[in-house]
Amino acid sequence: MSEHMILDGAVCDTIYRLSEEPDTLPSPGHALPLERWLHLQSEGADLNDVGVILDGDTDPSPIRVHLNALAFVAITFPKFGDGRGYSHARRLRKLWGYEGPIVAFGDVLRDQLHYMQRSGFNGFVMRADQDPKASLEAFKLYSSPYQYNA
Amino acid sequence: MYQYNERDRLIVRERVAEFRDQVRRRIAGELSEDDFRILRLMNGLYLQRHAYMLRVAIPYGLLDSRQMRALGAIAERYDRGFAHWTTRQNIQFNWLRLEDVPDILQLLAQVDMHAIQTSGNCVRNITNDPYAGVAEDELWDTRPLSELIRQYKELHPEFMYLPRKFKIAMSGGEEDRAAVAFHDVGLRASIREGVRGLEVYVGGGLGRTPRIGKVLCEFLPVEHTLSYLEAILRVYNLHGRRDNKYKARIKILVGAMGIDAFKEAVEAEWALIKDQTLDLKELEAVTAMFDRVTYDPDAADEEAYKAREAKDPEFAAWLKHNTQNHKHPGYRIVTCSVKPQGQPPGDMATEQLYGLAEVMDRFNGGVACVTYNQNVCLQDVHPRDLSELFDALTALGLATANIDTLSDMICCPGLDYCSLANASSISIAKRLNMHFDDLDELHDYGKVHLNMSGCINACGHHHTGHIGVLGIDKRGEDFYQIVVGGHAGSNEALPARIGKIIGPAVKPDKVPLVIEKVLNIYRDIRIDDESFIATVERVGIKPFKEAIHV
Repeated sequence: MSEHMILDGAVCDTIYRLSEEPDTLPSPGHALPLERWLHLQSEGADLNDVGVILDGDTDPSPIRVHLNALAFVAITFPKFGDGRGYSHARRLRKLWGYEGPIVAFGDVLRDQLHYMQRSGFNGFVMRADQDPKASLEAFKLYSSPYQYNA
Repeated sequence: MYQYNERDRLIVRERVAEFRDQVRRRIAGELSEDDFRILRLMNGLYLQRHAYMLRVAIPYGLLDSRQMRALGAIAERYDRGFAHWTTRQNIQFNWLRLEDVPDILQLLAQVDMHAIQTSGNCVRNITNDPYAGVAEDELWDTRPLSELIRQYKELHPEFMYLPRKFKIAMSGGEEDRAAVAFHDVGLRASIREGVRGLEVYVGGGLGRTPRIGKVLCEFLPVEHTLSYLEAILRVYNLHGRRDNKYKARIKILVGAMGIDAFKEAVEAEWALIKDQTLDLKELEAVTAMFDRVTYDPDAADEEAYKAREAKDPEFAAWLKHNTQNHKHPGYRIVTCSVKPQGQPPGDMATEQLYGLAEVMDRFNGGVACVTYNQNVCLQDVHPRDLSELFDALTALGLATANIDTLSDMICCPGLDYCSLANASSISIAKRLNMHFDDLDELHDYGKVHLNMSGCINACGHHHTGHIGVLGIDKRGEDFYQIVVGGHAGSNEALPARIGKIIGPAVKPDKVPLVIEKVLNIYRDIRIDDESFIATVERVGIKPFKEAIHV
């Protein structure tokens, strides 16, 4: 995973990660698959600094009642043509009112950043071959889009 | 028509800048072809057999003479002197070089045009009835709402990476002239107790799995149009299949869920955003831009052209076949035939594009509308101009009196250009043109829509032709399946239909003979002036099966 990410329009060290060992208790700043997060939460585990992973196949509705307890939401893009994550972000941010970080992981290219940001993402852990600094240009592409609500 | 404001222009200019940078990175090797492919497609750029093809958007088919001239200039400067009208009211250039495309887009931007979302897995150009605004049977003018949908869907951040392409069509007449039942979403104008609304269809489409759309909502008040569309798109984006591109269209999702469950999912999503209604004042302001013509109340008294009609059979045939009644008595809707003998259907040369721009200025207030049938129509022709217009169009080769006849065929580019095609379709069009070269004979067959596709992706809409031809490849040889009884539009007498195959595929030289036989069978069994499709609707395809054995 890249050592740098984009957060709120600036490049920083990668502070959000996907947990690679979801069976153990995660370290802070890591995200767990939704089912695992819900299980640990029901057991009363300390999940203060832990995020949750939404992939395209996950139905995000169970987290709706836990929004305040989420350190961040990681939305994964296995292929950049797979656009389900945009709708997840939109629901979380605009329809459910989630205010915490929504971070895109996976096949994230500079060419998607503008659209992701407008869908509700504010964090981007980009594909390894992408240059986060050069990619900041993408946020300046459009000055006044058509959609008043997106 | 709609007039761009500064925001519209800025968005298009910024899109050109974005794409220019993507092309630059591709040429510099910073973007792989795999990544670039998705990005170029959502801006209308295909890589075909011989060159790049750019599809330029013409929202709901309307364009002005300044835009027509720009298209001519692009054909002249960057293509081989031709452009091609499509069944979705767009235009294509087939012989472009990648490095020229950003400059072409810049030229287009100067005349308020672009190629945004003319391809790719996103919401495509919205199509409409070419007679919208002037049709006799219109409930209300759907163009202003089409324009607001265009703005809504353009570069919508959430819906640029759908499972597959998404096509919307709209129709405002009692008769559907936009094939709404064969679109991912079809919208038909409706009025209930004085309130304007839409009947919403979903899950129609052609391609490998032709489906007639189902009614999702019987009456949606217009102010809910965008939020309802958004709910449909979100359900599709989240749940449409992504594992198999042949099963990714919304029709497959609707089929798998069933229309009731799909409707439930849409309604649940819609409940969250239902309060985001359309600003009806904005719709009114846009509507004002379309009400541009001051009609002459005495037009119906115009007699001069009738003298020529009486003594000039060619002019009379053109009036009869290429012009339609207009909602204002006396005015005519004139269709320019882009189906002359010996030219690929829908192709126009540079001189014709320039010439047509002049005709638009002289006779139609500087505008025109591309039709589903790959022709161009002039919607507001004063009867006093008919004679001169006929001469001008004749000089341009755009006055063949064959609208709605067999030779007004829809045809995909086929193997000559397309990398998907299995068989040639343009060469079959030529064969048919040579075989059916007698206009009187064509007029006797009456209204017959012939649609041809070079492969099962069905870009030539063979499923919905009254007669359809589908090219297939059999051990390296071109063969053609003949289908009969399809119907794209719908009215009370004739619902939308998918055509049925009448027998085994035939070799190219047999295609005209089979079609002639089908038509002769029709002539034998028609009752009075019954049309071909009405006859098929009455008797079924069985009597036509013997035509395959010629």
